[in-house]
Amino acid sequence: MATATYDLIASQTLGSAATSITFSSIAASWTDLRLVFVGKASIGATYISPWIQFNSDTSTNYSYIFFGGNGSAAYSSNNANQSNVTFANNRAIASTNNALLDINIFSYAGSTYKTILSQLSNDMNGSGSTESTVGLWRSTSAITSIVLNADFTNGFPSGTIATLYGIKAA
Amino acid sequence: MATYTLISSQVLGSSAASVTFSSIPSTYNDLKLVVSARGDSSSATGLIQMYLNNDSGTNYSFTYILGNSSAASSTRYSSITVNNSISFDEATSTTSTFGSSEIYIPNYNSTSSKPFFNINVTENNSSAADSADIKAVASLYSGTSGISSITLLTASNNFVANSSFYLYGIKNS
Repeated sequence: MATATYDLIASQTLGSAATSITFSSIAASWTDLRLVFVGKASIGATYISPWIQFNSDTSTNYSYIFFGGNGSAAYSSNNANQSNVTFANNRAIASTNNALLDINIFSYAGSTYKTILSQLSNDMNGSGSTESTVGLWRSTSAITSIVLNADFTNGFPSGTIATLYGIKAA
Repeated sequence: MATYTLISSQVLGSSAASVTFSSIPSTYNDLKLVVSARGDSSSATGLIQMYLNNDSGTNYSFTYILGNSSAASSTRYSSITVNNSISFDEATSTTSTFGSSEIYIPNYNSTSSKPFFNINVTENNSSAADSADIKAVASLYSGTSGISSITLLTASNNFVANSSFYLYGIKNS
């Protein structure tokens, strides 16, 4: 029988509004991680540009480059020495409808710096964006916790879904 | 427990005008559709039309970024009757080249609007502009029913033999 290569680690559906979503005690049992977020801004927060941090590291050990399109123009920007990797940079996620943020984290348990690749689907039927981001966390520690922050008070509404999967190479 | 399961696949033995996945069970949380397709219209590339739940109302919108050997560009379509954002190779493209697409639809049983993402590539070893492209698409389906069927068809003519379509279900519980 083939070995399962795509495993559910944990899933959270918010029962009430929250400023962030945390996955902790992540085992080193897989090769890569995939975090799938489906959500929007709370009614009280008009827009959100979520950001991610690993292992509670708030130092400027992150960098990222993104490119995307907002329906009228393509854009790209490079951001060095940041305290997180931020998504939805050109057109933030609104409260009108859910957006999809798909984040892949490669070789998360290794001893080299960690690379992430994400895709944001943020169409709002008349506005919004599509955005791809490559991020780097300059740490040699294995990732054991992830926080996805909405960047606003009460930023994620009830019903927001975040799911963490582990992917095995062998 | 398996979290990533093949629901159904269709590999065309002969040309076909459309491909439909119907009676999609609601037992998963997310869907992933992987397409490798080529059409027989007399152009280099074309667009696949995708209907969800056979819905032809103005419930589709999408925003994409496109690279096709010219400067990158972005375009949006709002309140349209079909999602026709998926690129694929057509008859004048290099022989045996098929466009590849991955469509990820999270929370497909939701009764509210459903965002999804697709990335499409066509490459055929040509330096001519518009002969190939890469396109990242943010899509939104504003229908309020869970998705139980997906229909893919060409704007004209057929998908050729060996075009393939794989639908996976992903569980988060």
